[in-house]
Amino acid sequence: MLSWLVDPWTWGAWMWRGMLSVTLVAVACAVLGVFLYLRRMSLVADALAHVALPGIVAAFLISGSLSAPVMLFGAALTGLLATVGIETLSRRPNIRPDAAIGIVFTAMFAAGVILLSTRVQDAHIDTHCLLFGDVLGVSDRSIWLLAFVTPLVLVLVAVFYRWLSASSFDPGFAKSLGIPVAAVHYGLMTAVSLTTVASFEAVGAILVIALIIVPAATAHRLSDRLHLMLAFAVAHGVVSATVGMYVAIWIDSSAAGAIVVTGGLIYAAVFLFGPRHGLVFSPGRHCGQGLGPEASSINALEG
Amino acid sequence: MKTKLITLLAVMLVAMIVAGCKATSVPSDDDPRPLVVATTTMLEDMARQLGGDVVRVEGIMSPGSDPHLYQPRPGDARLMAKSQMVVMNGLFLEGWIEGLVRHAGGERRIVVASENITPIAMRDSPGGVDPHFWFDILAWRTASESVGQAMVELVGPKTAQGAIIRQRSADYAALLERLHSWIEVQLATIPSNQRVLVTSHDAFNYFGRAYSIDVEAIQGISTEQEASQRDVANMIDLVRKRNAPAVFVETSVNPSLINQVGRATGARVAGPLFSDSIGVAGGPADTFVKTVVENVRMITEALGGQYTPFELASQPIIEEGETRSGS
Repeated sequence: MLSWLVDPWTWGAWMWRGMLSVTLVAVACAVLGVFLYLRRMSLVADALAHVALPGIVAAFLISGSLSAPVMLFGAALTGLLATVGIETLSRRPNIRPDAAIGIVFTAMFAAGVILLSTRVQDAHIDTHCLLFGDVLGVSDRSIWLLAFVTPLVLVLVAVFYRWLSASSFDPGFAKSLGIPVAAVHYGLMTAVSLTTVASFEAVGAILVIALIIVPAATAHRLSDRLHLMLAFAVAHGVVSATVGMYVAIWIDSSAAGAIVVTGGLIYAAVFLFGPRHGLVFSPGRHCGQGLGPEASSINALEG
Repeated sequence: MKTKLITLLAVMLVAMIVAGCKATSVPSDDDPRPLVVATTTMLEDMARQLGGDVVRVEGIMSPGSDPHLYQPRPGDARLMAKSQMVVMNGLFLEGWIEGLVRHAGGERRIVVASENITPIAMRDSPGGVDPHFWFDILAWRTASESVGQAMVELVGPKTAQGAIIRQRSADYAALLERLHSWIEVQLATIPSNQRVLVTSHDAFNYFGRAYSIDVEAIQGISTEQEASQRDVANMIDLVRKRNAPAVFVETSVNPSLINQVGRATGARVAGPLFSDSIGVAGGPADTFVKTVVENVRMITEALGGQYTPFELASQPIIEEGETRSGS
């Protein structure tokens, strides 16, 4: 009766490899996504995923190799560069932060596209694979990379949990407590860069953005407490990865696409029927009504 | 209002699922014949012609899809994992296949159809090779020998099935040789100053090399590369200079650039030529040989040659429907 659940696992190693890699991607992305969400910087994930391309291409052109450390280093470097660029621009009085993100990452991504089309002639860098991933044929290298990066992200978040939460909720207050807010910020951005690069082969540069933003957004509709948000986000990531893989098998579609659509549908379900801010029915509706995200953040600070 | 929204969401979900549906026919387990999986539609047809009823052949791509840009689906990985033999084009045509074949699980024979042919180097990228070797019919015959040989080894060289495949391979090679001579005769009827083939992406270099016809394309070898406006302008100049009577669109490539060249020069827009895929089942080009015949007919007619039909029937050649019903 449950054969549709069990059978795919007997169809070959690709199922195990695919499930393992998307789960690792989903966990790392969900955790980092929550902090980005709290900092109102979800779209920075979009920027970092894109600027990893020029980073990888430049690293390849300089070193001539596409080994994992080189790729990670190149992406981390352009990621930091983009973060500094975005920060510098958004501090200027006449530039809006969202425009700053858009200006910096599109320019850098386009530079990567130009480098790729002029300087890299042999097809060792497959743009298509970089953008959309190849979850059905994930290489050993990519799985090892994820098996290294995801635990690393979790450990770092655990170690710096207090700094991260304080600086995410109230940077000014965190600063007054002596927390190195800027260092925490750049550390988080580097972690996001590394995670997106590690996730490229599994889900691709475009869909990894969804796996960073949507779990955090869903979690925030379910709770304002940071540790619960993290738990909900990870749950959302893992459930959408697993269900998405099954959906992809049933309808025989792109796995990465199915994972993101599943994640979106879970968000829609929580949006409509969630216990706290649900549109359709929610017991505590009268409390939350009329309060925007600002109010929620204040709740979060208190909780 | 809310129920409406929910209904809308549900309808969208169902529509999405239905739209996404094109179940790759994953064959049932009770078929005892060895499973051969081929990547492109050309190779799928070749495997069917060579294997007949002795092996079960499944293709990954469907007619009209573009092998440069294909995105594999779970059904393809499953098919790979079940297969005993995989036939691929090689020459970096299917970049996506590597991961799929290597990591599907299990062991299988992998035949790279292009391994014994002389590849054409790409014009402006050192180290690159042109993967579209199938339109050099003698190269395709060489490839069919590699594939036939591997298939014979798969079913056992001393078995009756092995003998059948050997016979079918010989028949196919003979058919391809006849096709080759026929193409030479057809193209020889085109006036020599009009022997130029203008297409959108560079899929006909092997055709040009084999049959001495100048090939010019706006886009590069892979459909992934985008053409610049300068490429289009250069092509317009070239068509004027060469006085090409026609330019050709392709079935699996967006025709807008070629249409632009046609409008600017007044050259007739002909085709669509089949480039990276054979025609749909039941159509006039549902086998590789018929696809080539259709292409040569369109090229000969559009460039002012005299076309005489190719006699398919003098050799036994299986029809698409016959093999499909068996699987």
